[in-house]
Amino acid sequence: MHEYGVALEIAETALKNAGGRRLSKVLLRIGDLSGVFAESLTMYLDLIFREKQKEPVTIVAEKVPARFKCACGAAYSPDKIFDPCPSCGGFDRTVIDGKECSIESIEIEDA
Amino acid sequence: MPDSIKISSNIHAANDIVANQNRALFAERDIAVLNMIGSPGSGKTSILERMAARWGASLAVITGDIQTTFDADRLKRAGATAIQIETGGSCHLSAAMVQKALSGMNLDNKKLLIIENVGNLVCPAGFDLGESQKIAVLSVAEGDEKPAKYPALFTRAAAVLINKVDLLPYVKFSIDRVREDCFKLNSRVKIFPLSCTTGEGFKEWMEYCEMVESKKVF
Ligand SMILES: Nc1nc2c(ncn2[C@@H]2O[C@H](COP(=O)(O)OP(=O)(O)O)[C@@H](O)[C@H]2O)c(=O)[nH]1
Ligand SMILES: [Mg+2]
Ligand SMILES: [Zn+2]
Repeated sequence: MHEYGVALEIAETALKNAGGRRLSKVLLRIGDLSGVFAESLTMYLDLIFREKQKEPVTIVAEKVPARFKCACGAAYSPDKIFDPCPSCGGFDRTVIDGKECSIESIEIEDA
Repeated sequence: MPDSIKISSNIHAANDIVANQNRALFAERDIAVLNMIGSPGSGKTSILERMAARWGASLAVITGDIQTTFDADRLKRAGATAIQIETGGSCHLSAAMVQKALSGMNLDNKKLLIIENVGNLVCPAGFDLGESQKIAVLSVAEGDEKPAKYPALFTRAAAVLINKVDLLPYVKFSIDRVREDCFKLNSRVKIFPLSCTTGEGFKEWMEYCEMVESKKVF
């Protein structure tokens, strides 16, 4: 729902870092628990970049699966968010990975 | 060969910076802040109206809606100190919107600020406003499977308010199921069944708010 706003922010950061040179690729990391839907984000980014420069930008969204750390010490990636800890069967857990929504790197070329 | 530039910047970083500025202001003014999140119509404003009867003008409320100042008007009539944010279309409040609203609010003698977020079970969960806690509001007519369907909010909420329990005779809704699912998502969550119509559950809920206010729970 709010992916357009997120896309605007990513586009701004990417173009600022490109410093006027042609942006060819943007690499993102999108966690399963980030609340951002990677496919819509990519769609909006594509639209935004088309307005900003003639050449298309390749957008790669690497998805990061959820990973929890249980109170018993075990770390695990659940298949479903409701899966209990495979070691102790408990639910007292903190999120290690999966909340990220970040722009990792960009590639630029001479225009 | 293209040049590669490493950036590693969190997209929510801009919001997080402002959220932390809000948090610093709240700490300096010694104000506890709850970010209340739930569907449109779950009863967020009605719950705040009941709280206003107990706290009066010392309860500060920032209400967020896409349009209208209806909710802030209701809460002022109920006795609270209220200010409205009209987002104009945004599906959630951002830290910057709250910061702007705070500049128009007198925080003297306020110990508890509640932010009623835009009615939405999804997007508000992802945006830190600088609050002490997120509070989820779910009403029984919405169905008891909602924590399972919208886990992001219920994973982050410190407390879940199950509102409109006066309607339980008319709808299929299991409080036990909600309890079970919420505990799986967050084993420390507190659950408060409430009714704004009868006042049921408000004693416990307001005691919890007093504990938040006096920083006995974080
Ligand atoms: N039966 C019943 N209705 C309620 C209760 N709480 C709120 N309502 C009604 O639900 C509707 C939406 O309430 P409101 O507070 O505006 O919800 P909000 O959109 O979440 O702020 C109104 O018609 C309220 O009168 C409750 O505990 N029981
Ligand atoms: Mg409301
Ligand atoms: Zn375990």
